[in-house]
Amino acid sequence: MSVAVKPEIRRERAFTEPKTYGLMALARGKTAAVDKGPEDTVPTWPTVMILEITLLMGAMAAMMILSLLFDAPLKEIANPAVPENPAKAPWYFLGLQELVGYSALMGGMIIPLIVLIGLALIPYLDRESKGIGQWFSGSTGKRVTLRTAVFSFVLSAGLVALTVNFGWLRSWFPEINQLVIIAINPGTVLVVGVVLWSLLVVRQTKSRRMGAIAVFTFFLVSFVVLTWVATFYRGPNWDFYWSSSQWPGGH
Amino acid sequence: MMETHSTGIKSEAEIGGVRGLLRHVYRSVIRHGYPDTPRNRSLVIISNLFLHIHSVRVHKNSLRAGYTLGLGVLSFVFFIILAVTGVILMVYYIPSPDQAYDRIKDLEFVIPGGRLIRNLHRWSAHGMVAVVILHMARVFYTGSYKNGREFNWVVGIVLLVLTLGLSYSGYLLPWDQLAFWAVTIGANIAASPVELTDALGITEYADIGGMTKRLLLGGNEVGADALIRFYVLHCVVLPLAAAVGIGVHFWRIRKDGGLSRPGEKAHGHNGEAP
Ligand code: HEM
Repeated sequence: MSVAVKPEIRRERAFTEPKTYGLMALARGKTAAVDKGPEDTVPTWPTVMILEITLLMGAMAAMMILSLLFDAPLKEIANPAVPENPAKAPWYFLGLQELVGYSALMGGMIIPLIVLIGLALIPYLDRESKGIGQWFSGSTGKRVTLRTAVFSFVLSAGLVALTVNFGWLRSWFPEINQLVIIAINPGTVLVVGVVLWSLLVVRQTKSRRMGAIAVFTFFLVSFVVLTWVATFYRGPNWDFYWSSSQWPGGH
Repeated sequence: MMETHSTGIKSEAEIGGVRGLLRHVYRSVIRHGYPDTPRNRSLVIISNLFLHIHSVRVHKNSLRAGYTLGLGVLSFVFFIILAVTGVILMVYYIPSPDQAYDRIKDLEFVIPGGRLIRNLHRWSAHGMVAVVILHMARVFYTGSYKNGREFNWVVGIVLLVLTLGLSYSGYLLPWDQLAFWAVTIGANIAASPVELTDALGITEYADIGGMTKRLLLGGNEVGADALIRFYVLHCVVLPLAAAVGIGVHFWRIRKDGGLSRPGEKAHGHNGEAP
């Protein structure tokens, strides 16, 4: 296109579509377009305000009820001489704690860093402009999400089952160098798994958006699986118990 | 026709007496008429500092409950609940190993409403973490990180980290066994580069792990210095950073042309066609 555009106007348009409405629309009197906003829009007041206030009051009411019914935990005063066993981090870190047992460096620092950098890079790796504003970007995306969910569930739950029943490298080769375990442990297996799986998805669907969906779903599902296991099935010494009623020592 | 003021009402100075004065005061604060016309509805939004974060009109798709699931707004709502209840807790709390636990006990058993406020703060903190993660999932699965919104996604990731940091730093403050040992785990993770330096036999020369742990705790153990550090992070540094980050996040939503929607025209950066 060779339309000459003044630089100020071009700058103003950055990131937004040129709007056909604005304060000019606020003339006195009625127009033929009454009650039918331009570009399928509605006035923010009062609709958005009502929705927002509803969410505010709903959340406050829910928290109020929760807080009246359940008390926040408070144990005995901190005592460095008496370790908690098991000592569990808050739930959102338990997935990581599940990996920390093999290598605190890999499970607690490097993998979280990889996950964060990976999440931040998503928009720059997937630059397709199709499928915006649509859940799962359509039916292919739904299928990829579902298959990835199954695959990552099997892989993460399988790894937990494997290690619970048979241990990991250190139980098989007690003399093994820690460097090997830092490099090869359930956490890194999951990372390699997600990379291979998403490359496969990109090849099959010829779409990076589908690759991104595979990565994100994998991350979400393994996060949930590991968090679940650590929350409900880990007892003293991080041993596996189906229920805390089986914990030794009459807990 | 009456003379109209810039706000669309009769100039207050023209009305005399007490009624005129009251009207003048009212109009000096609420600078628009009753919001039943498009014009006044717009003025409600643009003449209010807190509301002008919104655009005057909003696309119908952005209001679909099944689209945003209200999760972004809920993240913010939780942040506000936490800020308010947090300030009330600060009034009673003292960040010292000698007093912190007793102060929490006081809140629980002595101060009227103290337990409720503490419960609200605790459960809302869990709620915020969960809701922010779900909000990220909604944004991801609707492909809303595209079309000029790339950077706002990155701002979101920063907010996610701040949210986790806020929750985690608050965990130590009650100074009970749960707090102490959960934070000890965290500190040992911070120290974990020793795994590598030990395996390489260079910890003596380059103790990166020990350094990060001491930076976090202000010592080798979780003690008084760690408590003060976590307190400052939890009550000052991280909330301020999150408030600024949320401001940037909201501002970018406006700059990016409102929320994503199906069939939206692709537009590149600086108005260039992609
Ligand atoms: C403190 C945490 C956060 C708050 C208070 C917050 C708040 C909001 C709000 C109110 C919206 C408007 C739409 C909606 O309600 O969904 C929004 C949109 C958005 N948020 Fe967040 N958010 C937070 C964290 C995040 C995170 C963790 C991400 C992603 C990593 C993210 C990425 C985005 C993006 C890309 C949009 C635009 C979505 C669209 O155009 O449809 N935000 N956020």
